[in-house]
Amino acid sequence: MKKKLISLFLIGAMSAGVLAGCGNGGETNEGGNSGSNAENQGDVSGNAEGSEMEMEVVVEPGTETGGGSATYSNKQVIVGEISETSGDITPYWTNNASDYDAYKLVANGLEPIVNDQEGKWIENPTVLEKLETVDNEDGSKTYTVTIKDGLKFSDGSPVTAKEYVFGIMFFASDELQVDLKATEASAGLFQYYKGYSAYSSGESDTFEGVHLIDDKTFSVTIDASMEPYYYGQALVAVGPESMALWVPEDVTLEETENGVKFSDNFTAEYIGEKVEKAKYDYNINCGAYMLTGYDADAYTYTLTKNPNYPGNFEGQTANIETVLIKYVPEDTMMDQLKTGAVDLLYQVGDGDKIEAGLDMVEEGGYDYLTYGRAGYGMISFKCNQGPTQFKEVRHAVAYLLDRVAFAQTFTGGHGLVVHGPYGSQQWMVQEYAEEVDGLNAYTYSLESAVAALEEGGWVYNEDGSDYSGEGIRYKKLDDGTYMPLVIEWLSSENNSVSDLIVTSLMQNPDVASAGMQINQTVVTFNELLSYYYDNSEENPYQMFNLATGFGNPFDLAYMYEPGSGSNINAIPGEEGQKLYDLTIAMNQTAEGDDVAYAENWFNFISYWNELLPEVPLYSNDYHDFFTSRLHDFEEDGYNWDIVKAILYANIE
Amino acid sequence: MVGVFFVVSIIMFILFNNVPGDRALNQVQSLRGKVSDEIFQRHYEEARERLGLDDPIPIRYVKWMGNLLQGNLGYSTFYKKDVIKVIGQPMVNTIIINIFATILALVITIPLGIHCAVKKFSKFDNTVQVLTIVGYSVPSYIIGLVFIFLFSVKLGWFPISGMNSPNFQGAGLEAVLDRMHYLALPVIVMTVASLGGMTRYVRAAMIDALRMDYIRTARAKGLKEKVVIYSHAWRNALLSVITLIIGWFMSIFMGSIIIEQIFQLNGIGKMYYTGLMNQDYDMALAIQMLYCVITLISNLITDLSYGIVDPRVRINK
Repeated sequence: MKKKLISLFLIGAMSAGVLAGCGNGGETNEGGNSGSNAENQGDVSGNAEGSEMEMEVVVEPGTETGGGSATYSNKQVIVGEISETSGDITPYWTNNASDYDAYKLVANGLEPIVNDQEGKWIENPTVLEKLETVDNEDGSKTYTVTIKDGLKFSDGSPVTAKEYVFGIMFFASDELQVDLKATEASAGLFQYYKGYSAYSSGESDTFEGVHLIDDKTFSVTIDASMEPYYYGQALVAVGPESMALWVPEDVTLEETENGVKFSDNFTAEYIGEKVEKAKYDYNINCGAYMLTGYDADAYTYTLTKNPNYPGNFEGQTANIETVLIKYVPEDTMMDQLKTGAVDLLYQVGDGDKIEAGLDMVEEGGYDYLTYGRAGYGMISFKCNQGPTQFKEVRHAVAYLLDRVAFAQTFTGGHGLVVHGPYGSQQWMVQEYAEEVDGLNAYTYSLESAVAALEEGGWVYNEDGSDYSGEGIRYKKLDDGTYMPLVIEWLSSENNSVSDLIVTSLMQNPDVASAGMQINQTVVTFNELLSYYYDNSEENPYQMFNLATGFGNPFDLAYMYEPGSGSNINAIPGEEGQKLYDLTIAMNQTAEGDDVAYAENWFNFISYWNELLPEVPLYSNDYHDFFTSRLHDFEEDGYNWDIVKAILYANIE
Repeated sequence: MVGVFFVVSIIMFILFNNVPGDRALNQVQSLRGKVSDEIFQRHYEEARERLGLDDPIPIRYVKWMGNLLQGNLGYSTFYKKDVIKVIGQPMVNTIIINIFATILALVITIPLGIHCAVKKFSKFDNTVQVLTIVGYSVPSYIIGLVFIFLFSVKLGWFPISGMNSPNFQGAGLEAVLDRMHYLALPVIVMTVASLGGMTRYVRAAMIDALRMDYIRTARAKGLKEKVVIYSHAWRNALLSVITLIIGWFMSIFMGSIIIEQIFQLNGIGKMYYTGLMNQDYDMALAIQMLYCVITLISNLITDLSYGIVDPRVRINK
């Protein structure tokens, strides 16, 4: 009897345990099922379940997936992401790439200016009724935006000009950025607006460059210091935010002569609780999809079609009813696709994974896309201290590293070498293809490395005698002392790129033959970053390896501004100033003058290639692998990413 | 026990605070290049103040321990929430998974170990010895990956990872079955990974016990073999096995870092791993201290259990 009781208790405990585990615990965020949004949710799911047959449409799939017709249920697609989802969907407090993808699907959609498939910034006719541009006497430029009637948030509430102005005022505010620690909020476009510094620092309670004109109209003024700006229209690519979601009802916006201001009750203490809730329950939004929930146990965001989304600039609304953004571990990602746990894996860059994916495609049942990465893995130099302050040394390092073999090895043949900060999807690269091909490739050559060093004055032994041909080279500095050609390299732990640099560069006998020595120090990635961002001449390291990417707008001025903390390479003197001036020349090309912009762009790339503040090592050919049931999915990862492409996709 | 807790807490706190790198800089460096240098500096200084990095280590320790004793485990920089709010559900998940695995393992290993001891050097025993030594030698992540390949990829019996179907709409029994389907493979792997050690331990303890004179006496008295084995030998063998069993039960609260990571189970072990990988110090330190407390309680329960299992070690009798 006693044994039976124990057995019954154990079985009961197991069942209770599983039942308890099936409940939505504290980490599960049912974003869209609260408040007024719940009504919409009900409508959507009702349609999906109740009229499945009605939803099925027969369309011609894209040619890339084979001919013939297919029946699309368009019920659900599961997107696998290798960065872990955290449930923190809003990016203003820093989140992961997978969280950010989910955010973009629900938050982006009603911007008056958007970029098209070629990366050009264009007016969005779905949203924009009128855009007026005025050049002001003080050199600033005012964009007055009139939006169309009938725009709505996902919960059905109207979108007016006030919601656009609120988005700017809210995220640019001192209360949010500092008091509520939304550090990423300050990374917006707003810093180009007139009066941003005074408003965001709390010095002024009005935002001078932002005006709320009427229910349909608002204006933003770009600061004179930013004008002219080639990507000017992109600065108006702001979206609306729901006041009802983020702040208590009695917080209001007021238009004044000096710009818009919040009511006095807009304080961190007063809005804090609501903001804390809204950042996870981001359930009133304007994207093609809306957040239905986050399942922490499945590491999955559930996004359902927003019934109030009017479409993108081409009027395209989402075809697929539900998109799931799911975290998949890198080790098993291809197996997850193979077993149907996910329908799409995108931006696969690892050579082994790509090979496995291509094998799956060959076996049938899967398709893929491939496109170049808008970025590259690199060696980055500090150009204001140590041997790498001399460009001849940087050139020599480039000559001593067989970058073609490096890229081949690291990417498994699925990558290429670039010679500057550009990517194949950029229209400027296509315009200047021939000139880009003519850039100095720093082809592997010990002779070229030695010649570069000799040209740079690295022709001495330690005692000041002429270089003997063995051991480390020295250079005589202006103060009469001799600097050894010893480069201190800082790399992060468990880094396969670093391992390859060790064998292909540091331990390369030709490096010693050239009279150079490279010493490696391995630290955690975070520690590496603290040295990487240290531009002082006391920084003990001159060489780092990491990866970088660039976006659209392609604005690199902040990276090369002399004296700026963001100028990682810290190229000193005239060379640094000239490189910065070239980025400014790019930015200050008149809007729409693509010919002049492309010319300025190539001038910058060309001079960058000459100074070589970084040695690009590889630029991956990314692959998207997906089930053959998915059709009409085209992206390039740069101008037209997955978030934009998924609207057009259909799934059987 | 209290003294050990404080000593461990001091050591752990110093270790975590001496991990190279600037925690404040880590929190704000994503802003670099996106805001002016002045704004960046303002955010950086604010982060330093928030994290108390300008205080000397002893003061930081006292503040941290004061908060810890009041139930404030700190703030998770990865999850952007208080640690106490983050670890609840993973703890529940870990307990559920480990209860299954532990009970399953004990149900298999104890009878198996006893049977092998009783039938030592038989073909069955030799086979089990070979298998358990292999199982004991192979790391659990290898077992996990092999089982994923066999049972998920090749046979398609179980999902590869996760704890339930994404966007699962069912409720009640359907939800239970869905979750059991997802948890089956990790539970099997955890069970298999622990079979080797425990089986061999039980076998060894039982062989020692069966050699004792009182066993011979019991048999001479004509007691049934079952009574000899389970009432006399096993009772005495239990004393050495009990440490392991209690350790196992206490590990229910600790989770398996490797298994939870491989199968992407939202458990406390996975959370610890995520905390360490993302330099989420408050999270990692809180879980580390939880492990410390569990270990201390485990030791206490083990000591007390000796008295229950073996009357000879009861102090007041």
